[in-house]
Amino acid sequence: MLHNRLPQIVSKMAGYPLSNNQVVTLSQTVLTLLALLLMMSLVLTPDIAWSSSDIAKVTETATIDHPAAPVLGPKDYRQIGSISSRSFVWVIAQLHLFLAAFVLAVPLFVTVIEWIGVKTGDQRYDDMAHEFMKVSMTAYSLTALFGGTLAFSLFLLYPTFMAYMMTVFGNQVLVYALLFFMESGVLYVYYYSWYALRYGNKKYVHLSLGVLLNGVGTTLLFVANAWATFMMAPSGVDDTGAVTGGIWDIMRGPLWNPLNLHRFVANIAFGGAVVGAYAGYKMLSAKTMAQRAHYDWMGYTANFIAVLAFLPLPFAGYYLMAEIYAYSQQMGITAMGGILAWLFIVQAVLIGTILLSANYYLWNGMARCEGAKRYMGLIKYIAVTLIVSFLIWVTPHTLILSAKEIATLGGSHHPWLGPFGIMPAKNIAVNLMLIGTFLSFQLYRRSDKVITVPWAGFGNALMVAIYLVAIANVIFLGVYYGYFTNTVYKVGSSVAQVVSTLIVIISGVVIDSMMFKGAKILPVKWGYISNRGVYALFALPIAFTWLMALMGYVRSSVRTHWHVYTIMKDNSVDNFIPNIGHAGNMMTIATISFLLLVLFIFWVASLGDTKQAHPNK
Amino acid sequence: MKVIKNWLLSFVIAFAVFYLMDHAMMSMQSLPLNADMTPAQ
Repeated sequence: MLHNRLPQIVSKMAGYPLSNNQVVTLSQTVLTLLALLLMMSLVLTPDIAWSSSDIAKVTETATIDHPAAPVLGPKDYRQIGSISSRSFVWVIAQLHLFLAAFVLAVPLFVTVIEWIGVKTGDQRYDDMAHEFMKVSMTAYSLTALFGGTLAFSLFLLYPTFMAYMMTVFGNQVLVYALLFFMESGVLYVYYYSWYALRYGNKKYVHLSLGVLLNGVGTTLLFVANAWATFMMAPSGVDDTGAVTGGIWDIMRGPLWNPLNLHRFVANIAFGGAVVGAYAGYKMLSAKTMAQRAHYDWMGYTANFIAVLAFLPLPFAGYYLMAEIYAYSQQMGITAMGGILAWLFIVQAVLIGTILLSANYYLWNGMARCEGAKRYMGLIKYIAVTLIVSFLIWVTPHTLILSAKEIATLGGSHHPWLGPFGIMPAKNIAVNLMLIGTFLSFQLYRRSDKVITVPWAGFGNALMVAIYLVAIANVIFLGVYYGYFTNTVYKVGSSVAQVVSTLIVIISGVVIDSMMFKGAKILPVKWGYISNRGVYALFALPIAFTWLMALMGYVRSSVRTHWHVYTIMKDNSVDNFIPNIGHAGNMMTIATISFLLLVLFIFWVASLGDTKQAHPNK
Repeated sequence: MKVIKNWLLSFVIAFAVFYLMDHAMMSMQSLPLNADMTPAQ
């Protein structure tokens, strides 16, 4: 077989003998590089392949070859009966995005877990990775179904708009289709070859397939993101909408990379939350203690992935919003200072729910280990910090008041709650919530260990000092620069607040890994978490899903009455931002629909393990 | 005595790190600070 003769072949090519390990490392590296090269070549499609020689210079007026964006009229829109086209596309698009986020995210952390299984030699990681992939396989088919339905809906209901988008993006949509063929092929081979490529050199082939799958999936994400960001901040076109640049100019708008980063990280958090719910469901329905312990461990791992990916998300979101402001102050103000501002209070409620659920799960999980008792006293301080920060975060600034209410209040803002309604207070709150969540993680990780290094006293003192100084720094930066200096310093201080939180996280990981060397490990009783702790695993994906729908509503609405911002006006009957009540209903319909689909996905994943007994035996 | 030394040293290190980080992060954004953390502009 080739894999047996591979070391000999490669050694002959190299001109000197190579060990099996060296060959394995070399082949893994080559395959990984090939996967990355493929991804990069697809994303960085050279202009020469797309630009025609006719596009010699930028023109300000449209030509026959590069038409301006059409001006849409009533005949350019269709409707199915009395169903609002926008509402129909809204729900289908949102469901496609939910499912796509899930199926792109799962292979990302599955490959990492599989690799951990190889490095530790613990087969439980391999089994868990395989089970996570099993859950996502059904979701993949549903993603494609909703993607097809979305495409049909858009072409049917918005034909002229879609014709313009095809003019702009051209052959890139076929690249997207090709990527889907590749994704399907690699996904099926990756999943179904799991047991055929399980040990030795073959395992590295399988891991490389996982890397390739993730490369293709991430490229799919980046390509689709370009359509959304083009509609918000068009690039590669002139003021009339005529194409003036190559496909790379069109794709690489000012919001593309911020959205790429935000969606990539958010997908991982979302995927972790959904598989965590699967583990929670399987744990509560387990028939044996061994099964309960297995799914308890799986739920903990999924929650770990979800929260680890969630911690940097506020910063990625802040980066996206900063780029929106830099591109168009009007768009930024619409989002956070104007009509959509209230949605960020709703966002605060959902993120607060997510953080409280994640922390509650960790605190309940501390019952698995006797060593956790020494840290239980700290939980109330973390809980108070989370709740007070949450309350500050949800405090609004400007309320909708009648003249009489304004007179009673003494102004449009509450005299002493009003200051909590602006960004400096929110930034303090979110950073303290993230620091508190990381502390919960750190305490959980320490609860099954007795540290034995001689410098433990100094290490613990340093960790406490870092936490206390970081918290004081975050509060100082927010209060002083937020309320007592000018706007530029106010905005700039938020960067230092973020770095303060990152210092806590990074130093916590580094110091703990050094302090855990030679630590005495206490037994962990997997399966001994209370049922109410497991319910937190159900709350997480519900809050995540609703939050994604909310942010999608914001992203679409910042375009106000434009299909393509400042280029192509929306002249449909729905050319207005839907009010928050209606949007809330739409988001809830999408969320509940997705959760029903998730139940179906979980059921199908379990169905494969069900075997009916022969009636005659 | 050793315990007190540990705590003092820890807080001195933490304070120095965050103080220097604040100055660095603000300077990188062309927002210099005075030694007492007040805006220099």
